[in-house]
Amino acid sequence: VAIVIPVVWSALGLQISWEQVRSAPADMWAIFTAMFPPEVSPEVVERALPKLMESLWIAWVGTLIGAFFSFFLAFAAATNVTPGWLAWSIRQILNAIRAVPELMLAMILIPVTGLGALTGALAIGIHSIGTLGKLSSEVIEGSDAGPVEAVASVGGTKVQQMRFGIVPQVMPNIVAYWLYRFEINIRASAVLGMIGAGGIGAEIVAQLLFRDFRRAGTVLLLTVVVVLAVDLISARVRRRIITGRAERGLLQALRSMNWWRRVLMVAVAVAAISALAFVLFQFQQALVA
Amino acid sequence: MPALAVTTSAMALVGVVAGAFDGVFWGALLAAALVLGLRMAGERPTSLDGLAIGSTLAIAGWLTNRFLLDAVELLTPWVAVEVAAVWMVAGGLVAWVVRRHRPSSNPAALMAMWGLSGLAVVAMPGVLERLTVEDGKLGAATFVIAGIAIALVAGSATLAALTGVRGIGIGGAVLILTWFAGARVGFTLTGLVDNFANIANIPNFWPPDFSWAIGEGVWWNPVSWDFGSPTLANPLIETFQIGIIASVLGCLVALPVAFMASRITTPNTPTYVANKGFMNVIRTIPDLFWAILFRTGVGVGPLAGVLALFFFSLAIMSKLFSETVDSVDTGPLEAAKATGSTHFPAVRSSVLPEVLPNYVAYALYIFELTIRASVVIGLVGAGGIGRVIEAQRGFFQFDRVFAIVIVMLVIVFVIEQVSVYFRRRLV
Repeated sequence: VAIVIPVVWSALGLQISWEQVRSAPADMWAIFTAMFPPEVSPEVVERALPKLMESLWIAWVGTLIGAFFSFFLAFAAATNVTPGWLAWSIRQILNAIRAVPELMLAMILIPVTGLGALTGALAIGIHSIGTLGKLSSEVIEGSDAGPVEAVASVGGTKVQQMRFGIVPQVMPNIVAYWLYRFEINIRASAVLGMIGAGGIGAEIVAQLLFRDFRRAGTVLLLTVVVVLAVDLISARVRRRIITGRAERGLLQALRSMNWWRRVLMVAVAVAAISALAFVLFQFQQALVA
Repeated sequence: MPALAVTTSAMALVGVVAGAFDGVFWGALLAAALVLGLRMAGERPTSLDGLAIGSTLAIAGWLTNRFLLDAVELLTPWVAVEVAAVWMVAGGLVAWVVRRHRPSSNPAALMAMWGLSGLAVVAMPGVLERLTVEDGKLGAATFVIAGIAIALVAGSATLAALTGVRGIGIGGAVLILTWFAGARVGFTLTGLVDNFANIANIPNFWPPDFSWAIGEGVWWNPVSWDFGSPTLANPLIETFQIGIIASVLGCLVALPVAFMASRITTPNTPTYVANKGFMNVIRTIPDLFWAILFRTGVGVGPLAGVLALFFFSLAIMSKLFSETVDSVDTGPLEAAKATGSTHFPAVRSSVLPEVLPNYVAYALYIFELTIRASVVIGLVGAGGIGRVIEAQRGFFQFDRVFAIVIVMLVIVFVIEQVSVYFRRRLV
């Protein structure tokens, strides 16, 4: 009942006509068929790819800003390192930072740093300080007190206690959070382009505005591919950091095969790489022509 | 760490003298990372080592900055060779310092690595020289920088592999990526300081115009169901309605998707792969992209918002929940199957009760996220409070925008606290 009543209230309250809902699948299908197959001419890719890379760089710089500042703030916000009242107030600051969405931060920053990638990077960086600070301080609070006491018992200063007692324990988890935040920030930076803070967002808005759906499809497809690739790589690295052991990589896989399989695999790899090189070469030729 | 201190202070000195802070800054960071990497590996680089590495890399960074970033238009293979030469000197010096500490490492391999990275730098612009050098396009300078980055990443990785000093590889790769990213984004410390003067430009954000946002007089009129000021309250209610419908629908659909995207409950490989793939792909598209897609598809209005947030919540919920299903205790499922139950009843009676508290907790969390996201989707015309924000932003009424933002922050905060309380009790 607690769920049904609000749902009914919301459904009745919204100004959505039934015809709209009924025709929505058809409308969306029309859009998707208009988008696919996406236009992959060099010109479109050449426009979209640098923007997409810019999104990646924005996310990277933003994550680093967040990681750097949050690392120190996290210690200050952990109750087992800092006295209670100070930790509490720093935590509230982190909460306040976290509560402002990146888009709002970017809107506030645009008058200061102008339209462009720097604004996006700063907005993402500031937001990441809040989220990473909270996550990291929780990791620090969950750390074992034993090593800290051990360092203290041999006369270590407060800084040394942190450096040798806490940091080695918490670093894998914190770095994993950094990577996780990087994944999220890529999506955020893609969105930030929509209000002019650099990156791929501006491109999709422009193409949809001109109702050039096949190009919008290209942009969307490229975004999905790149984000998926980064997600997969980052998830792998994170698992490696947390568990501390290497997964079966390419080399080990190759080593475990018998020799003719190795030859086969290497041949396949060479064929794939040369095919890729050929495509790139064609692309370049088209570009020069 | 005297070596580190000497390195950094040498950097600072050179930076001030040269008046070219940025290139030197990145060179200095690189040098500090190298020295730190050596120390972490148990070596003891002396102050002389630090000075040598630091000053070489700083000069290399400065020269690169001068050659490339100022002379994008004039890029010739000759400039590339010069840059490569500069970095080869730097690389050679680093290799020499490493060799001094690790006589056992193979000098021939080090030399080969060094030469190769230099060649890569030279070859990169030569191959791509024909590309256009135009602002905002794939210019040749981009590729030179990319070439340097790739060569240095490869070089430092090789160096790390040869010497067994892992810190060099990872630290070098991270720093070079950052250097490259910073150059692309335009993130420079000097630029940041320059821009800081613009902080007075933040137009009229303060004080926030609460009297407009909250409205004066009657807070809630029970007859007409109007809350506060009609300009704000109705879109605000719309935001909530969008958030509620989208998160409920999203969580409902996510339930079967999550079950079908977990190995434990789905032994059928095609179903598993299809659902997992679907889940991963919809997760890559950010909320505002969904919003603008649906805005284009079904027109401006709350329906676009509902559909966009439906996919947003579906993506996150199915991901979170399928991981919970993955980590479930398989004992009850096996027990149910052992008594002769078929697959679906077995899953329903054994796995579902186990994960249901988590499901409800995640659903609350999703609701929280959805409300937060529904604030911004209005910016592209998908209904809710964002519409008002966008309109007032268009009128440059930033004090009103800020007032709305603060009101939303308070509401989101309250929802979060309630949701956290219930989640604690559930799990």
